[in-house]
Amino acid sequence: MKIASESLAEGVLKINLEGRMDVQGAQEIDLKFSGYTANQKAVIVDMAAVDFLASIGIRTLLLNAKAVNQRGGKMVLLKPDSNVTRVLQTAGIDTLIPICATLEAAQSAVAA
Amino acid sequence: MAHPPARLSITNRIPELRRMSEWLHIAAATTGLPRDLTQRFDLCANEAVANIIGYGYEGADGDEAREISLEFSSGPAGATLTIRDHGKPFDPLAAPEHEQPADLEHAAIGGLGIHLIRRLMDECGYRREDGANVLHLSARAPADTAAPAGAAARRA
Repeated sequence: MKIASESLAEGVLKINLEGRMDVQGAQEIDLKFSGYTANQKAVIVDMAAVDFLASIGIRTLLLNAKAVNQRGGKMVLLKPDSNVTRVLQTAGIDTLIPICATLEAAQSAVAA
Repeated sequence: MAHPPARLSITNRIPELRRMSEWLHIAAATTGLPRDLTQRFDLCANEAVANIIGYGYEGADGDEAREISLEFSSGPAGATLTIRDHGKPFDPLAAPEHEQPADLEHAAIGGLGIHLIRRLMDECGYRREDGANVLHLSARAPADTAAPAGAAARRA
């Protein structure tokens, strides 16, 4: 998997993910992901280029969302495709980590 | 289902999961399994086999590779996947139902794999047979998408 971070206005960090978020994919990004979210309070995870999400990838998302949450911040998911959205909904994650359809919606969702 | 089942043998190693997924996608495309069902089977196979790789051979002899065998029968109307391993007896379907947490703070990390399998498959079955764990997963296409193939078959 590929992972990159991008600083947006007002202290918002956008993390861009790309590839298959299976066991191998999650192992490839886990360390960088938690490094990026350390000390952040407003995180948008761009899921548009993720074409597969397994429970191990959900684990990664939950761990980071919890960490951001615990410091009083918020993490949201941006534009997952229909297959990934179904997995998130089936796992009940959409009620724990908000899913946003547009960057504007994601930015206002993480705004303090 | 007119096509003979596709068969694959893998070892209990993480990179094998991707080889398995590629095999499953090819078999599904060849037999006309709808894309939606192909994605469900890809996920459920990943969850089930990742469990076997992670826990099935815990405490077993060191680094020896172990075989996991798969059989996939698919067609336009649905599919059945059978996964067989010789690890310690383990019925994944015996796990308690997943409980949806009230909020992020109370969300447990893990245990979602079996939950996804139960929700995304129409039928799941486990049996211990000749020293092997045998897991059956099946799902059918919704009636509206399966109808054209069924109608064509009846005319033929």
